[in-house]
Amino acid sequence: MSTVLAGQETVAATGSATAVTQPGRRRRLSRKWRRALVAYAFLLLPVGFYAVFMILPWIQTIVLSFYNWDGIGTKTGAGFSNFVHVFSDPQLRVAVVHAFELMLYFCVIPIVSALFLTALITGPRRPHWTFTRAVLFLPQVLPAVAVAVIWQWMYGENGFINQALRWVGLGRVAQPWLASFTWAFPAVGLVGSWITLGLCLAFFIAGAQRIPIELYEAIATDGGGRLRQFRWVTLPHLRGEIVIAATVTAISAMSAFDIVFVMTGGGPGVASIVPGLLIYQLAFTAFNVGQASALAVVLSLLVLLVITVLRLAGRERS
Amino acid sequence: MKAKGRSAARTAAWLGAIGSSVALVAMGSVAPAWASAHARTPQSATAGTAFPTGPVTLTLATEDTSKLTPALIAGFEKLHPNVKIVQQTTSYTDYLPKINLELASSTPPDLSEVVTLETAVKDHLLLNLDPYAAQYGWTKSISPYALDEYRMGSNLVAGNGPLYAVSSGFDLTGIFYNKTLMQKLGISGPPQTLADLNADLAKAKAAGYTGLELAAEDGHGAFLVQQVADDYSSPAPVNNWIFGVKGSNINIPAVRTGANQLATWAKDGYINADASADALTQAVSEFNAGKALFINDGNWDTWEYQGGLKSAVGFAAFPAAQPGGRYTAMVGGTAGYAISAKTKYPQVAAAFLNYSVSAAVAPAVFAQGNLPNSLSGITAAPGSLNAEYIKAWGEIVKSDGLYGYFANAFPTANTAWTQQTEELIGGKTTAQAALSTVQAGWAQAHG
Repeated sequence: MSTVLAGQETVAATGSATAVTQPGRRRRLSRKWRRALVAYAFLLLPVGFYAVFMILPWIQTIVLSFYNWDGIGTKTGAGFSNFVHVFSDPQLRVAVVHAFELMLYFCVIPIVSALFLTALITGPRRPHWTFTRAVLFLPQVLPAVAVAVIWQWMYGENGFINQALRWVGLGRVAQPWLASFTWAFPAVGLVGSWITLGLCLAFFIAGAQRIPIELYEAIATDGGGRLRQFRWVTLPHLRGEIVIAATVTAISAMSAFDIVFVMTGGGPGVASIVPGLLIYQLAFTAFNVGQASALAVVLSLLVLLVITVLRLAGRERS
Repeated sequence: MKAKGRSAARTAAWLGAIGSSVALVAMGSVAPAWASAHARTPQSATAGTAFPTGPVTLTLATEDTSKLTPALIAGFEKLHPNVKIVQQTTSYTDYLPKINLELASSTPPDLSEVVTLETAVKDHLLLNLDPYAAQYGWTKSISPYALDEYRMGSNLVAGNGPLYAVSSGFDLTGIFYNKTLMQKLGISGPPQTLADLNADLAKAKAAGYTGLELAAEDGHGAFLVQQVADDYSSPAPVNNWIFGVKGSNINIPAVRTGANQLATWAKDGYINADASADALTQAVSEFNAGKALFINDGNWDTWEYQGGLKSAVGFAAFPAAQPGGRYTAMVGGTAGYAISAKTKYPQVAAAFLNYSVSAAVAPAVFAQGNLPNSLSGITAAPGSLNAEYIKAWGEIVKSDGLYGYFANAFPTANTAWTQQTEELIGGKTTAQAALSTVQAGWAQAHG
């Protein structure tokens, strides 16, 4: 009924003879165009934002990577020299290795932990755990800088972690964690795990809630326990969510900046240096925008490589 | 439907993923949006223009969080009721990345504190103050050492060329000590030689105290390296290196001695275990809490120490290498201010600078714990930090012991020194390797 009315309105509005002679065809075209226009109108804003704030700066970064520029004065052509410098910088190698190591903390630990928690609340009985979920998701909504400052205090010589160790009689282990060449990097990494755990859990719980309860009951009927339910029902059904979580967290790991900048500044020495920090230092301390852009381009290619590998690994076999 | 939903979610995730990676690269390209590339000719002041009588508002950008700058502004505004100076204070870490971009913008601050000159001079963002120096007689009233720091030629080497800033007074480094703790440990007075210092540090450690509180995370590891190095080196090679004079090298025996001394102090447990994660504010509060015997710092923290330890805090020049040796210190301008090349009121800004270096404000500058350009007629209460600054200053000047700061040698010097001194503290590098790395950074900046 509404379709007919819509068609009549169009005819009345246009008053077109063609529309009168070929009402069916005109109505179909009109509907098609109108739907397309509405779709484009909805797309215009996000695509516009994406183009202005993402794609254009990306292209600009690529262009700038071929110049020598201090961010203010005149640009001069640099050819590939910025890229040569980036690849010959010994700090970059350390930083890139750290970026991959951070994937263990930002990606592997939270996903495994979130899968374990998901396994506990899936199956024939499904507790809601609303409070726990909210608490675990909380780090996602807190500003990263505030989170980093709080953890910096907690890792301090007289911070909560050392106090707790002393309370339980492990005072000998207590130390200024962020000043240690051995522990500063894992300490920062674990904060990343804490931040991304809630996000992974949110993905997995959303996915797990769509799994038909009958599947669990079928395995239970066949005498299968929780482990088999997890292995044969939960895990295969969460494949897509795991890939998404891995992608999002891997990007956070590769592009980590804020918590490292605040907690250690990349130190002690270069024990926790990451590519994001090097880009910042090149652009805003050394005022070498060309080299910073070259490093940013290299890093973005690395990120694309990682997510492509993850995507291929996560592809469902037909 | 389920599969479709999942596929849509996956597509959304890929878009988000690419978006995030693009956002990351965009970091390096924010600058162009803030400042356009202009090649301008150097600006120089026209001295002698009439002082305006109508209302004038100037902005002043600084990272100085002490009470000095507000005191200078208040004094100048009282002298010129038609002038208002709005102070915009930013933390040191945030000030460096933004100040040159602000100076290049269409609304630059009329007055700005100089931390590094290279970019601002290269891009002609500051006014050449030579005409005002001649008009106001700054070259006679201010010591050449204090002015050289703010001179830079077109070759971007400091120490020569046009003058770009002046400062109301000096920073002075040395050692602050806890008198109460010293008495408790049976130490009669501040150490005169490095051997005395080592003996005092051993006593502090034996009694369970930190000998030297160190904020290595904020680059103060380089302070200790330099204090020792300066004792063993004449000022010329060190200051030439800091100014960027071609052919200079920091990897010299005196500086290697300093670097080795830092590593030895760390190995012997004489400095705080958390030095590499210790910011200056944290280190100052640990010292004020009575946990450490000494801290190597500058007079910019006078208020912190006086507020914390009150009369129990003392100051002395850094110990000499041997009995009768030279006393040395890092000395630089306290918040030196420059004038924007685009200011509408250069004559008002210059009048403010002239007020800030004049003898009239010397007592106010000294009251904030800074050494004014001229010490004549300045008196300090006996036993106060100020009295000890004057005593140390006399010893240092007599020894020809004035040095700039290692961290000012090139734009990334502070980062390079921080990393290398932390490696030295952690026993991860050698003095030779650490100084070679710093020198490589210098060579990249100065050629």
